Amino acid sequence: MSAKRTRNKPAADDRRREDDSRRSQRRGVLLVVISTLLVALTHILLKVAVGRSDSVMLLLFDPLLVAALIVTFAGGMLLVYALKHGELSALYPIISLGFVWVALEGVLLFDEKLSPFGIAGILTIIAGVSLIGHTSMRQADRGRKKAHNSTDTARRA
Amino acid sequence: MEFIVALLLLVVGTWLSATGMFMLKLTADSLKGGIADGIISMLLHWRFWLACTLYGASFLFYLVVLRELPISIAYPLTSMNYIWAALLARRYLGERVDSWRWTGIGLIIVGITLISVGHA
Repeated sequence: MSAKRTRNKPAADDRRREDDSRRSQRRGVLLVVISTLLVALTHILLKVAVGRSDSVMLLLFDPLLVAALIVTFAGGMLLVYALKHGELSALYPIISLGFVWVALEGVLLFDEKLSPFGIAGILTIIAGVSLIGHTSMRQADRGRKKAHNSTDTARRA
Repeated sequence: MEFIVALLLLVVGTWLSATGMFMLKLTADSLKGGIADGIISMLLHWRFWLACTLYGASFLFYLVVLRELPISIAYPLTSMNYIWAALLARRYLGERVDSWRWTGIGLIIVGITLISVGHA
């Protein structure tokens, strides 16, 4: 009985660790996406601030500029927390979502035009980010399944 | 010839920026506790400041490169740093970079190139 328990325990620990890593990776991806949204928000703030001030001096005292700095800092902190939760090789490329948000803002809020190349580029980036996000979470899932199987074999043994 | 030199500088610059991100990841991994504690311990961590320095250096490299290369060529090439970061993560963090992830990085680089070409 006690021998069985000692054999089972590492497997259960393994499973918990894999569970944690999967949840962690998911949280990491989510946090990076939110941080790119914050970066996109700072671009709106900066664009409005630049548009409504006549001189650089006035721009420096614009509360929108201060807000942009605060949001930038918050985005940076979120990125650090995201990195803590997930893998660098998965999370870093996801930052390129920022291009997509900023391009969409340009079109939706500031009447900018997007060339066919730009549209193709945005769709390609979305495809790449989705691929990385999806497979990195699935990889964690697979790890979890393997841990489940090893628990089963340990139980059978 | 100057074109080649500019490309080499760009490679070095993207490498610096990728190592900066790598240092930020090491900083993040060492953080414990809540947000407030996290911010303070981050600011006290030497790797965080090394990361900032590396970023600053890569930015200077990029400025030099921009004097030689048009932005529609220089900018998409900076996405090389995703490749360097993946290599660093595989070598020193034991991350498994599978072919899906490489494909995703490739797609992102193609996408950034398309956007830059569209703006040129």
